Amino acid sequence: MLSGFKAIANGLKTTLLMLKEPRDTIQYPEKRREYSPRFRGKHMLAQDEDGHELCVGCGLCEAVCPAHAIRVVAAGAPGSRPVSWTERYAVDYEVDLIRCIFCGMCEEACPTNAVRLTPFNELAAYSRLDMVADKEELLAPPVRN
Amino acid sequence: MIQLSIDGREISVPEGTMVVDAAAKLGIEIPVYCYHQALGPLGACRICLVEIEKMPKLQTACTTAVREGMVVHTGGPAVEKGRQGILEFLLINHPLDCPVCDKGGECFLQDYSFWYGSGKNRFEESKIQRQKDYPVSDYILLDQERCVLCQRCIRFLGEYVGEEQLMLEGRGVHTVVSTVEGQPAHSPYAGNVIDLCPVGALLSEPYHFKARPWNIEREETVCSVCPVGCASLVTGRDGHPVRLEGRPQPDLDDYGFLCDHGRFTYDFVNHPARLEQAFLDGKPASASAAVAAVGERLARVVEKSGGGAVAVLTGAVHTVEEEWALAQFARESIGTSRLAVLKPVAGDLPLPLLGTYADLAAATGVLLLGADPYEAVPVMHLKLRAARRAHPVAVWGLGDRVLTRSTLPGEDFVAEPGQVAARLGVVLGGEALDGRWAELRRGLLETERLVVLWDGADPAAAALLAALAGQRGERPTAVLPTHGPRNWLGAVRAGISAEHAAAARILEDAAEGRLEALILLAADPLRDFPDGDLAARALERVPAVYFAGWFAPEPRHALSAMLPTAAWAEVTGTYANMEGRLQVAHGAAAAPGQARPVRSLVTALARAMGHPLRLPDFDPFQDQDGDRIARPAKQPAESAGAPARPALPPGEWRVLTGDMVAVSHPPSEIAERTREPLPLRLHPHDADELGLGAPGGLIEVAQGERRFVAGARRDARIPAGRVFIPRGLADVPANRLDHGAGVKIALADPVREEVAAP
Amino acid sequence: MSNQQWPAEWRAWAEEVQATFPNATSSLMPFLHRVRSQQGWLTPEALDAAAELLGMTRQHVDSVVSFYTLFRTEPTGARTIHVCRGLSCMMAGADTLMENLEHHLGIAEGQTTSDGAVTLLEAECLAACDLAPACQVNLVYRGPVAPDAFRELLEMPVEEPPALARRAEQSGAQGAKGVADRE
Repeated sequence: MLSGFKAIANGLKTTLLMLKEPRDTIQYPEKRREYSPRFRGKHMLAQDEDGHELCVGCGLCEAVCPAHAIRVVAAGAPGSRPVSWTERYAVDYEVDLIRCIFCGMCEEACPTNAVRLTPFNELAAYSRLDMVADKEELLAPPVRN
Repeated sequence: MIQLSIDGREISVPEGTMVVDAAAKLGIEIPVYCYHQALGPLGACRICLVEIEKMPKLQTACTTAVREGMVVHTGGPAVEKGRQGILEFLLINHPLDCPVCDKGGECFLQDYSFWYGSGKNRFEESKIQRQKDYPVSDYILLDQERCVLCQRCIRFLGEYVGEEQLMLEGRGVHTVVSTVEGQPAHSPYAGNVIDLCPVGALLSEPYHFKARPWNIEREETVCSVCPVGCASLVTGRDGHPVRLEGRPQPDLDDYGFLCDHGRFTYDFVNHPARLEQAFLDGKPASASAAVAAVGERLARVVEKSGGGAVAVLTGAVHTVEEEWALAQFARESIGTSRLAVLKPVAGDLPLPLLGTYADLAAATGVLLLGADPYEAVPVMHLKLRAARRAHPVAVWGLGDRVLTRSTLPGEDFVAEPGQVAARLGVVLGGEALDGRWAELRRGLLETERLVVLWDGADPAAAALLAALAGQRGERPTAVLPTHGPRNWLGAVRAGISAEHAAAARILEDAAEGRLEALILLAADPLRDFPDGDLAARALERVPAVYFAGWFAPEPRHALSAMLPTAAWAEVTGTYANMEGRLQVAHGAAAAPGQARPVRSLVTALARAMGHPLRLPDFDPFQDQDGDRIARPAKQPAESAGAPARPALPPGEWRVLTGDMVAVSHPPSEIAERTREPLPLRLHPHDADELGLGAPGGLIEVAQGERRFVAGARRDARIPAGRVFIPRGLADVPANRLDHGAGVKIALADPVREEVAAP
Repeated sequence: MSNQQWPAEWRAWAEEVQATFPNATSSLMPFLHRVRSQQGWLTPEALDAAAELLGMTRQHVDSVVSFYTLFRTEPTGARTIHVCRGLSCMMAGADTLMENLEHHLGIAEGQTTSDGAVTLLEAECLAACDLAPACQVNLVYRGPVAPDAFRELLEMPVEEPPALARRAEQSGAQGAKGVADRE
């Protein structure tokens, strides 16, 4: 019987000792983990300092995407108002975040460094359609708060 | 034959072959920009450098003719270094804006830089900036920065087409391609420079920024616009066709040149006027309801009056397989033998005479019998010019207007209106011919290989053509019919009669009340049948007209039902061109709305009629004839005399008519920009007397009570006192005018002129 | 259109050069040289005439004319000054010389004074580095011209007809490929 208590005391000792150890889990969402700057999360479309889109709608990301998650439709700049820095721009740019495997090949293929994967990884949504990020959404890069 | 060795492999080629072509025969690719087989050697781009033993320096493979015992190396350090150097030079002022460039992904500058380039550019200075996206024609954009000055475009338009509308301007790094005197290029063949341009300098405006090579469906097809049936590639994106390109066919010696009327009308399948919705008694209906109702009504007619009370006319624009399905439906399900192709002309070609494009390429004499290939079947004009470049070809034009032109010079023999066949008969009769006509007779009978381009307008010419072939004896005579519809020979292959009399009989039966229902498959009798009045009477009298097709004919209220069918580029099938060659065309787009292939439509109709139709397997290709349709054997023809013609009453204008693909092509929003606002033609003197401005204006064409107003242009090729009205023109239906009686012409009301003048 | 609409002189020249050269393309340059020396520049009519009289397309004539800088298709002054912009001349002050001329004449390079007296042009290397900065006045070499001494270019007598034309006539149709003798 004594040996039983001893065993319990031993176990409790380990437990109590562990209470002093640093914790491996964090209190999400009150606390958030720091990620490497190279973490590949949700996409964004970058703009230059004049507000012109860097994306010219060349479709290389679409071609390289192994998950066929990207759809690009290009067009010429409407009227005299350039949308991107050149006469061609992407009218539609959609990323299906359910299909996306976050491999980052789009980022690598992009000749104008327009599409980038941000560290943002909070991708939960209530419907599947909400998981298709359109151009408007991608132009406003998500920020973790 | 000359024996030489390329990369250690022996080959013997005919004398005069260039090294680049000899290598191609071995399957060795030598990069080229400026060289094109159709244009011949130039040596402007220098990318084709090869090493030839015993020659001190690298040689351009495209300008070096083969020599006996030549030893050529297309690789090796010297060649690689040479190519790298040339590419580095070509890229010095190249903007490298591949992500923006439409050609990106299918560009030879990209490919060769990737395969042969060094990957580095030592030129660090700023690049020369030039004009970008400069419109050189209604359809073509020129980016002078991307140009490598290969001159293919200039030489194609200048030498191959004979319409010098592009040129090189300036010197050295300042050299650019530009238009002559700033005038846009307006040649109907200008679009080919888009295909010819090896880089992204000449781009298609309608395709600008539309797609990339990896997000398109690019399928082999044939052009659907005219019976030449040019081999082409259709590009589909998101279910719509967005581009048509020429497709070279080396085994047929065809370089894949198209005309702009074909190249830029692919969007007709998505035109707002396209029938995408089924209509029943003028009201939109679901496809199944419409099919069920039509089938039920047809079944009732067949039950009451027998299958013979139903007739079927086809416009022969669908595939051979679909025409065949229609024929099966007509014979099996309806049980009628009243089935015919609706042709816009009354002449029937004797099929044994049907020639090929190879005949044309080898011809020593060409007779344009009523046909103006430049306007009716533009690529035939190019083929004729190509034949003339290879060897001398005598060209005779025999029609009621001038048929040769400066780019296709020849002798013209202008007959009285409506007397073309009569004239040919007189020439073949050989009696009392004066100088020129005697020359024509001698030429026609004695030329080694004769090809006749016949517009099919004059039925009497058919027997005369057979007689001509008979008189020529052993010397080959071939006829190429230039008239539409696109796939009438395909319909013949499908077992549908294309004789004018067959269609005429159906319309006569209808006009006399012997028909209770008429089925039109993409046929518009009112617009296309040579006797428009008979067509009008027929459509008025027949109780029910069911239409299936792409564009419903006017007036639509006369149609009991309209059923949409899938069009060209939406179905895979076979077409036959004017030489009777069967050509497979693949689909690259989705049929819009309720449109469905004819095959599925007729089986559905048959089911609705209560007689399910089982369509057995059908292969349009027949073993013994290869890829041409079967033709009956030649029959020795008797010498036909001149057909008798009534004399024409004096003092009025004579109506001439002919095919003009610029008018007859399907409705297209892209081609709208080059729509001819002045399709009628008058001699300049007549135009002056009328007071018609330059280049033309609106005139009124009147015959009896009928008055039509349309734009007319001055054209010295039309003899005085005659007015040319293209077939199928909605404003002035030439088939509603009595050509024997003459018309009155006056300037149109100036108020209307102001509104409608271009 | 008939050939009759062109001046008899041009028709005669065309016949002459066509007799000298077997193919049409070779006869174009000598013909254009003569017309240029007569008019000082090539009018659109002259280009049309060349195309028609020599039996070639206007496209070809335009291409050739645009290749050579001495064929000008804009009105050109009685005195045409070329200032060399080659390396040696630039180092010797050709750009200052050009500026001085521009300032004095009140025109920019490539323009003609409003009275039609002087046309100011820059030339790629005139191959006269020993005369740097070198100039040509109606194709007669002049140099070295100190940047401040630009007036001598405006005052030196010019020959009529221009030297190039004279050369072309002296040596028949063949001699026109070079420029005039150096002084």
